[in-house]
Amino acid sequence: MEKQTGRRWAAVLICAALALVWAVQSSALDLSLQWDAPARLPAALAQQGDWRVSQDVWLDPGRYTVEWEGENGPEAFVLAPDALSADNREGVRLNEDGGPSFTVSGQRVRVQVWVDGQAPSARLTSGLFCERDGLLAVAALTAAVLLLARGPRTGAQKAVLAVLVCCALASSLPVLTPGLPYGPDLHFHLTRIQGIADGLASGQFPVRIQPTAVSGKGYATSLLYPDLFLYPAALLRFAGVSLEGAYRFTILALNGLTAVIAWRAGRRMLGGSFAALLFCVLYTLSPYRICNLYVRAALGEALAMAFLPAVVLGFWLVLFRQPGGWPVLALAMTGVIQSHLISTIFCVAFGGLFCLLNLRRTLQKERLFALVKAAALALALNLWYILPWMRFSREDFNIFHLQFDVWDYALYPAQLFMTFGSVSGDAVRLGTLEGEMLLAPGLALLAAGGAVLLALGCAWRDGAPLPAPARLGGWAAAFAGLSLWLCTNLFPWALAQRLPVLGAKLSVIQFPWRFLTTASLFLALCAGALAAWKLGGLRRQAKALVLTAAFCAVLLPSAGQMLQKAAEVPSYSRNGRLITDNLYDGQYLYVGTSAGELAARPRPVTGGADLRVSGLSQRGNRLEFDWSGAGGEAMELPLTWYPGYEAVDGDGVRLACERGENGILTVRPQGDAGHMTVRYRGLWYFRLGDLVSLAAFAGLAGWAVVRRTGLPRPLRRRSKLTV
Amino acid sequence: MERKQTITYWAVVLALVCLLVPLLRESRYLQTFTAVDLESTVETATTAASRYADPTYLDAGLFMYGPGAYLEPGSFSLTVMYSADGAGSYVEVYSPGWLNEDNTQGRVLATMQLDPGQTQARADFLLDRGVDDLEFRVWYGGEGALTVNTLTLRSGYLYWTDPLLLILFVLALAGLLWWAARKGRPQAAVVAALIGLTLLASYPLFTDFLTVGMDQEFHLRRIEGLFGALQSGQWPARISTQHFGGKGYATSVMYPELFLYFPAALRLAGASLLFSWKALLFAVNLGTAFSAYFCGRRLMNSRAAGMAAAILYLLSPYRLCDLYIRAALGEVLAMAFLPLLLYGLWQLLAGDAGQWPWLVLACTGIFQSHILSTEMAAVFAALCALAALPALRRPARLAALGKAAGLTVLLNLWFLVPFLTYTLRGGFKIFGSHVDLHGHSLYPAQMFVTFWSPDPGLWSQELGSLDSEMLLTLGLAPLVCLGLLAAGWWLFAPQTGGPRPGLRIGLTAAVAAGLCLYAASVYFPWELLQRIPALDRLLSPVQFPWRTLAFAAACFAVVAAAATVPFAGRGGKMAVLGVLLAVAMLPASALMDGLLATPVYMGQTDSIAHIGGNYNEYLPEGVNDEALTAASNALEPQGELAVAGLTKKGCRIEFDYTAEQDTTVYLPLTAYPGYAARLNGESLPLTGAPDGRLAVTLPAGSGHLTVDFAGYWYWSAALAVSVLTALGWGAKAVYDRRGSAPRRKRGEQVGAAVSV
Repeated sequence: MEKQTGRRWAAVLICAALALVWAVQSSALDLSLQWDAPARLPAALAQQGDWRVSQDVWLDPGRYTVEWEGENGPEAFVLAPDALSADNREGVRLNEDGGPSFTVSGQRVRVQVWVDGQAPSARLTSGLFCERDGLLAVAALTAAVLLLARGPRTGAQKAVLAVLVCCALASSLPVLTPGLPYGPDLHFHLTRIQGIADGLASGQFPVRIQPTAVSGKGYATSLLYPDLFLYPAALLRFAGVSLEGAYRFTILALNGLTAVIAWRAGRRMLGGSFAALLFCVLYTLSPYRICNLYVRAALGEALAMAFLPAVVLGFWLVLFRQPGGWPVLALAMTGVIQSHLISTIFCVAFGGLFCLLNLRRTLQKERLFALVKAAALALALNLWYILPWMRFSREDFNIFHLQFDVWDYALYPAQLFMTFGSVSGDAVRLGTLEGEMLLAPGLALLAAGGAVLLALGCAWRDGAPLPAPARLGGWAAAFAGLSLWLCTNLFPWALAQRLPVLGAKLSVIQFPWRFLTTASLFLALCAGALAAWKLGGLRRQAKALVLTAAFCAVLLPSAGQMLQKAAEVPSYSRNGRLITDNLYDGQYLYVGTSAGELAARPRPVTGGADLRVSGLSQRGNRLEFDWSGAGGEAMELPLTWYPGYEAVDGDGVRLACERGENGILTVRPQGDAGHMTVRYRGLWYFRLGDLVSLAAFAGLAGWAVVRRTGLPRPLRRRSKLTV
Repeated sequence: MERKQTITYWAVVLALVCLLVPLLRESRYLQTFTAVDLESTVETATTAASRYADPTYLDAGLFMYGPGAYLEPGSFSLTVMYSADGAGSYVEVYSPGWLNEDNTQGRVLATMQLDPGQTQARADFLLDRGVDDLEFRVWYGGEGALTVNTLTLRSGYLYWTDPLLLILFVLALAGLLWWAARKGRPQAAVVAALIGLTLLASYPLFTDFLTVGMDQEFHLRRIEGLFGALQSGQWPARISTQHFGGKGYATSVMYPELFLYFPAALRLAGASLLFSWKALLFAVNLGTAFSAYFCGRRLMNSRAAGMAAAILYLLSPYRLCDLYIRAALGEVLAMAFLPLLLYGLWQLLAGDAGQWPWLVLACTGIFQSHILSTEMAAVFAALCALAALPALRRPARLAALGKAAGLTVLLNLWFLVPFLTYTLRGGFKIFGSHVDLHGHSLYPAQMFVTFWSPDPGLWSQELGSLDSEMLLTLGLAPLVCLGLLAAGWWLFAPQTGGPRPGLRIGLTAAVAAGLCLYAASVYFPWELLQRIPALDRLLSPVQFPWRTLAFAAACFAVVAAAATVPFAGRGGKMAVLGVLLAVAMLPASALMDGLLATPVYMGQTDSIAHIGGNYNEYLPEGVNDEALTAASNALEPQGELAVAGLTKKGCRIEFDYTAEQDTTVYLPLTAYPGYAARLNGESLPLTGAPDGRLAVTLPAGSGHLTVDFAGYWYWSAALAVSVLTALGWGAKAVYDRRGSAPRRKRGEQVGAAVSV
């Protein structure tokens, strides 16, 4: 036995060592430079000359070298075109000494290599450990193996772990291949991750205005789109992981989290591991979730989907089991709120409907109180995000004026049955299905829903009593049916959008097929309920067969999509070409602001004709400089204006920040010269919200510790609840 | 079921049906045309989708016209969004092909002025007949600038009754389920499963458009033609009114159309052509599901066997290809009856000969669907009979065969007699020449592929390459069935040594399927057989040997049924059904999903008249279809003739005339035998015009002429015989069932009783 253990550890160590060698080897950048004639010359270069410029390369902090083919190459001018020099000029030369090596420090920058005259072949290289994706992967894998070795003891535990790992890995196939598959929202989410990292680096916490977007002028993404769960990815950037690697880890972690939450929630609701695993398999690998991950790259919606099983569990516990489970509901709702606001609306709507349909239970004192406590805790935990959001929802941003023909993007009932389809990421209007991406719950899940209905029908016909899983399956089938109806053009969306007040708000949904989120959840729950009700008595081998069959059945359409995406030319690879300036159609800009013009606006501080700026330093959206000769005129700074910016002079006197032409930030200085510091502070009650949330989180953590350690608790009152 | 359960059931059904009520908004015609959807008489400046007229380059006159919309009878309103600086511009709603009472064509149905200072004008109009060439003509007044933006045409609600009919069908399905539930839980489960299976095979229909199907246009025209014929009073329909500008086409005489009366009836009830077509296809799927289930259930005496047969047959890629890609409606209708044919043949030749009525039903169904399939079924049945000749020679079986044949002929006499009248008369284009069957046979590799392009633009190519070959496969499911059959019977069935009827039937079906596949393959000696002139005349109409895949699919359905029998216990049978469903669904899904992503062929507001051209196989020899189409749709007198009170309804024309001398008139009707003309009640002979139209010579003077398609007296006699036979047989079946009910209660076997 000891010999066997020793051999196992030896094998693990050898694998780890080999992986480490690969990781180290692949941690260096080696990029071929392509030359082109420039459209215009930056101010930092001499205007005469036959200049050639390389492609834009986005580089993380580190040391790099331009290596010419052959003995002697020309002098390279390595330029960071977006950086501001201390004397307020656009473009900073990174290799001041004219040598081939240069250093990028501080934050990720866009870099161009310029040469005057003939440009021979060249490569841009870095030393080892430029990117640490491989190292982190090896470390994470080794840690996982170590943990697993100490983890499950029994065969059943090992089986559960195996299924969860298979689900997580199977749903992560495309991110285990080189590059990232393109999806319409991929740019936007990569921009968010980088924006958080840059915001943290510039001293903001929590990040409200992401400094990266709009060519470094800042964008209110974090205020209007929750991104708590992207902080780990942003922190990985500080550890030297590439942006592509950070996104990859996020997807892997997300899939693992989804599997675990689905299994745990299923186990509580369905009363058994087998049924819970079936639910977990069908949900984690559901075609719509896979579509969200890889075809649409809708990271927010996929994140929210991870928590939906917990939301269902929370409502089920409060209304049908012990109301003391209300913290589960609060935490689950927190997860959803911090992932995707539209999914939050769905949770509130479906949860509210569930409470309404169980009004008697809802109005029982303890259950009602539990719901109120859950809502209060959720509010407290999320106040740090909700307060700023509510403040900013009063602003005239494009996103609050969305006019969407929701009805025209509904699904045909035919689409609900599809298994194979396009992975284009396009949603087309009614009238044709040519070019539309696959938007379907999957036949395996539909079959589960149909089977539950059939079983319930037969039981009802026979007048047989329904056990708890059957009742749960009935609820799941009803809500699945409702969700599917809402997805399709059978629902009168056109009529709904003409309703006063509510109609205008419906545009926020944009696409009715978003209800496939809840449809997938409830259909998977149908499968679990059916398993708990009818298949609980199967032998272990038969259960394994059923799980395998479900795995294959749901994987087929999902795998088809993933493999198609993986087979496409990857949009991104670790060659520095990641673009992180996607503005999501400028939806977080004020109405009337031209996003293109704002982004193209030159970066130097401007003002009066005699304005001189020196000692300028910019870190994210924190700007500091000395000025003179303003002549009483307002200065335009390279920052997008949002409420909450603070400008102080050298004496600490606050200066008014106003919105200038096309949404740029303007400050009117006092005097003839001075020092100015501009940064985003937010409004005073943002801090209040932060503190309340922190306190709520601390309280919850303390309660969890007390609960786990079994410290004495107050006696509970006797409950008169019905179950 | 208890009364309380019945009430609850229907309450739930009605509640769910209420969710479909908002679909009533889809029941009206609403289409907005932008100005660029219309033609313009000059090159005009356009912005976005508008057209702009200016006196600097356009004089007063016709400015825009089009689009040639198709409308059914009803009331409509047209709203025009525009801006005009000067007066004098107006819009007409016009139908150029409208036949007036005085034999002229073209009618203005509504006019509206485009007043300066207003931005919107509206006109209402009524249509008492369908038009397929409705135009909006914008006349420019010549003063000031005129910009036309959009023209919105709308009808009232229930222009189409599609939503109401959909609700009716849902209630009918709910009723079917309720009826089954009353019989018992297993019956309810079976019916629910078959409905679910039908939904699975029908989901490409759940859209508001049609994708391309090869023969789709032909069959849509048949439905429209049948609808027009019924609407104009022809019963039964003989001459379709849809073709050659309404001059008529003898599809109803030459191509059986019994099952098309269903969609035609829906059209009469106000359904759109799109809905009628889809309802027909859904009904075909439902009927096929039940037919296959019945065959498997009865042969194996097992519900699981019935379900296996239904799964395999309904989701057969070849059948789905016939249904959706080839849109070979006749063949797919016939396929619905093939399982019944197999059941009937088995009982006749090896089982209970008293089940011969099922054979009558099967043969009638096949014959009323597709004549080619009838020919192939006859050959198939003859070969089966030859193989079972010793058993067939028993007096009881011979008598059953005679009764089945006789009854089949009598039931179909109403179609046979007119068909033989035309075919024996000869002179029709359908009787074509030699077709090389071998050139379109299949490679074995094609027969079991799982994924293939569902592009309807592909076709059956000549041997030598599979590039651009259409989908012609049974999928992997038949092979899986054979494997399950072998594994089941050799590994799982108890080896008692006793008779194993299920295995015998399964093996027989497997051999038959193999022979059908052989006939479809490149190895079959078609060239040799076609060297015999008599056989060549018999075989050439088949055109493609891969049509035997239909029979192979039916046989494999029986194999699937037999494969479930040795697996004991509900769990085992469910596992086998699950495997079959998964294996069958794979190619079926790929086919149907691929089809949905192809370009749209037809929407709800489209007319078949605007799509495609005409067919000519059923035209008399010497008649050119293009010339016939181009010929006038009005009366074309060859001399001076004053016409009044002209009406044309389908194939019936009536008018008053005055002529100073004998005048020959060419009528807008195709010259088929069977037309009759009456002048002031007296019979008048009809002749044919050079271009294939009917011609009649009117004597000088005046009178009232009626021309109508009457057929022949023996056609009516044949119809009466068929109707009486059907009524008599139906009455006997009801009587037998009622009479056998007490015996059934005592647990006795019943002859032809239906059980689910």
